[in-house]
Amino acid sequence: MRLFYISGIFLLSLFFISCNKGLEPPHNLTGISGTIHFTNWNSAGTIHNLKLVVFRTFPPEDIVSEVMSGEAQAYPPDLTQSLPVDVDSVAFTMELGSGYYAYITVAQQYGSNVYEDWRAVGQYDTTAEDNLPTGVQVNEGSILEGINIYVDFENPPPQPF
Amino acid sequence: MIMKKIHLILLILWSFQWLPAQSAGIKGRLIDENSKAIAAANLYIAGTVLGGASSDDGAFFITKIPPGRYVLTISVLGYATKEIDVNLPAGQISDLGEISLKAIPLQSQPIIVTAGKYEQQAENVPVSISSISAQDMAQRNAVTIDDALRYVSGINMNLDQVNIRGSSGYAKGVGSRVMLLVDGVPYITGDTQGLVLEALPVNQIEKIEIVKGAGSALYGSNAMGGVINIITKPVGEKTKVSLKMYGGLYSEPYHEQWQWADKSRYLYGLKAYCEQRYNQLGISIAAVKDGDDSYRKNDWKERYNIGGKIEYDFSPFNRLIITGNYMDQKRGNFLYWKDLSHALTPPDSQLSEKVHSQRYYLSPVYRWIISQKAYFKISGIWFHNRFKDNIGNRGNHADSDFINGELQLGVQTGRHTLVFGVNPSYNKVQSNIFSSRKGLGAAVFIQDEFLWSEKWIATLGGRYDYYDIDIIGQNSSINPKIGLVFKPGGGSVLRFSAGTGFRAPSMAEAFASTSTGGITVIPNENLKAERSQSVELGLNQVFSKYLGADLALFYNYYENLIEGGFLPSGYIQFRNVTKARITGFELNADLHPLPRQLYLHLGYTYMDPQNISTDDYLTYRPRNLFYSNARWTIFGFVTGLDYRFISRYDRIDNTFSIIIPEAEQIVDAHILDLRVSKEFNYKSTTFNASFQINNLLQYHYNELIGSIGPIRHYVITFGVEL
Repeated sequence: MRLFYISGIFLLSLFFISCNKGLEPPHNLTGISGTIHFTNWNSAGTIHNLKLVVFRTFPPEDIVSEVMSGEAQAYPPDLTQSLPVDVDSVAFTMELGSGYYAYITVAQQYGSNVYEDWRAVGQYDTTAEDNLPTGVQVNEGSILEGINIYVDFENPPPQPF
Repeated sequence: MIMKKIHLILLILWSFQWLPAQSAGIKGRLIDENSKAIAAANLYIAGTVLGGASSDDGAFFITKIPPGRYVLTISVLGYATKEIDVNLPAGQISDLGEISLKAIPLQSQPIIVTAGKYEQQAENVPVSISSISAQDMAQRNAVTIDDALRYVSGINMNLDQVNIRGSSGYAKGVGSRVMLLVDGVPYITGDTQGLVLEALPVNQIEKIEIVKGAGSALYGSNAMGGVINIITKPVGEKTKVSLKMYGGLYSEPYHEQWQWADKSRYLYGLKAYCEQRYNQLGISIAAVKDGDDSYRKNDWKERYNIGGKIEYDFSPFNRLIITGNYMDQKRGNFLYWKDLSHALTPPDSQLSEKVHSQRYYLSPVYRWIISQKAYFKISGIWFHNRFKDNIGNRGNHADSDFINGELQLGVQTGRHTLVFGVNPSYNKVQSNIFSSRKGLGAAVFIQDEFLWSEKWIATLGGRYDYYDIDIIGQNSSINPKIGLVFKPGGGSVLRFSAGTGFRAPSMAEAFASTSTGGITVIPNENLKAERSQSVELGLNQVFSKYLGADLALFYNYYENLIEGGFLPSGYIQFRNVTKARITGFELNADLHPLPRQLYLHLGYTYMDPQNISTDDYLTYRPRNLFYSNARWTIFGFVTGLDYRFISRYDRIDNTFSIIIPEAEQIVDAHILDLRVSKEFNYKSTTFNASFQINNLLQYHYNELIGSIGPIRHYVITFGVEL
């Protein structure tokens, strides 16, 4: 009979140990969404990769080291994946931590050096009077919509990298 | 010299001329102290290749034995090993009647063949050993070998990569630091030097032995972290046919957000096995089909294995065994999750990725018992691997061949048991990733086990390896080892071992050249071999027939560990970058509170895996493993419970955080499996059925970063054996 009690206690302890179910999905999405519009693909040159990158500060140092340090986030999040090419536009929803983001840009990897061969080809800018990017405040538990970016490969914005 | 050669040839010819008509036989029945039959006991006729196993009713029958005096050794786990002197007259079958074995569950020692390349009592081996029986695999319905290895203390699987006491992290299956053997013959791929754990029919496996610690002094490259030896079933005297089928169903994930399929997901399979003996010729065939819809999207699998074994006894002293297998597998390619919100779904771009692989091998082994105290063995393997996928812009493909041979001579002289051998190997690969490459290797090894006294056994050995890897060029490695076993009595066995190990770089690490999604992998023709030094001190103590324990303290030092990572140029390359030190201990306890009814095993492993180069933890190594297993036989039902705890990685490769979203999301693993099985006989047919629930607690844990381990699933099996 003692054996039954011991077995029961052992099983119960396992249930208690495991009651949190381990990994779980994030509860509410936080981030930005919008559409990227492209023009003049024929002036793009070689495209090794094309990313939407969101930086906490402006101007940034470079893309890869800031993404690795958590100061910036990229979309698609997998570095080996690219935004689609030769399309007129692409809609996106990008998860971000809450806080202020100073610079949202579309970046093109034009060479094989994943650290250095990047250029900005479009940025989120709501003010016509200057070429400075527009920052956004992302709040916890909500998606900031309407982040539309216009990429013209013939007329890229000022290069911060 | 010439006369000696003539004598040798005559001896071989004589052995081929051996006539069964002159033979003797032996039969009997094994029972325990309660007159219950003992099945699956191993029987050996010392000094010959002959032997057998007891059937379900305990009966055994060994024929074709040359007349004379022999020692019959009977060995089975849970009972005292028994040796019986027998005198077998010509043309007669000697009936030994009922032989009673004494049940001493914790004092019996299984026979081990991996540690020294010959049969040894486990207590005489100076290193830590674990073994998995066919019954263990059947009760857990292990579909592949890694399913069986997951329950062995000191081992954790990083997906399909075997990590013994922290020796391996994760390198996408490339460059295993654990050597896989099939019947003592190396079974690794020629291109990646990885382990293929699904390319064998599991119903052909008799047992799996695991040596935890550097094995390079006998097995060379790749064995620096340990050795896994898969021993296939011998062909018995009786005709045997078995069929087993299984079907399973995955639960829905605990979090609704992860639900991706609109229909139930199944796993299923069919395993067939038959063996037949025709006088000196024994044949077995095993065929397995496995299918798995998987709990993850694009992670499906469909696999066929067909394997066989031919045993031919030229005489009671000469046996040729040929084993082989052909595997064809198609599967989806789930590498990592899209993100934690979609943890069971891969990134959109990987949804259509799939891999087709074909793997086959042929391995002949010829064993000649020269005398009661000497044997000669020649073995070889040809292992061909082919895979093709549609990953990246152009897809990848590779064809590789691994050819390995070994000549081994074992001699017992006085108190010494000597093993010598030479071991040439050749591998080549043709691939769009590695291009066309080839490598050569050659090695000599020697080991002496010295039985100093009844209490002391010393082992001294070493191996010299020469290798030439395409344009990397030639190099060599000498790896010595020493072992001591001390048996002071009172159920105690102390052991000590020390040795060095090495691993030559694989073709994949040296020559991989590919580019996808802006990431470029470049070759490194300057790669050097990894090297290691290992020390282990162990104590095995049997306290009573109810309780036994084993404690092992281990220290491993590694140099030039090969890891892939980003260069300043932005390219990825495999380089010799890491010095590491892994210290720890492993404590195992076996309890039999109710002998032959209730069995408990507890195993705890603590590791401190330090990267000396960066003064940080090594990547992908858990520090704590706790595995427990209970088996309770009640009212003819066998119930079982496995609980495994694997602590979270202390460190992952940060470069993955730019590839895998939320890669840093890692947790401890708590995995509970339950099962119940029943076996019953009708006339001469045995039926068995089982029901099991794996991951009963529906606990979501990492198998690796960005990858969740199997969610709760239910499996029913049904088998019949004639």
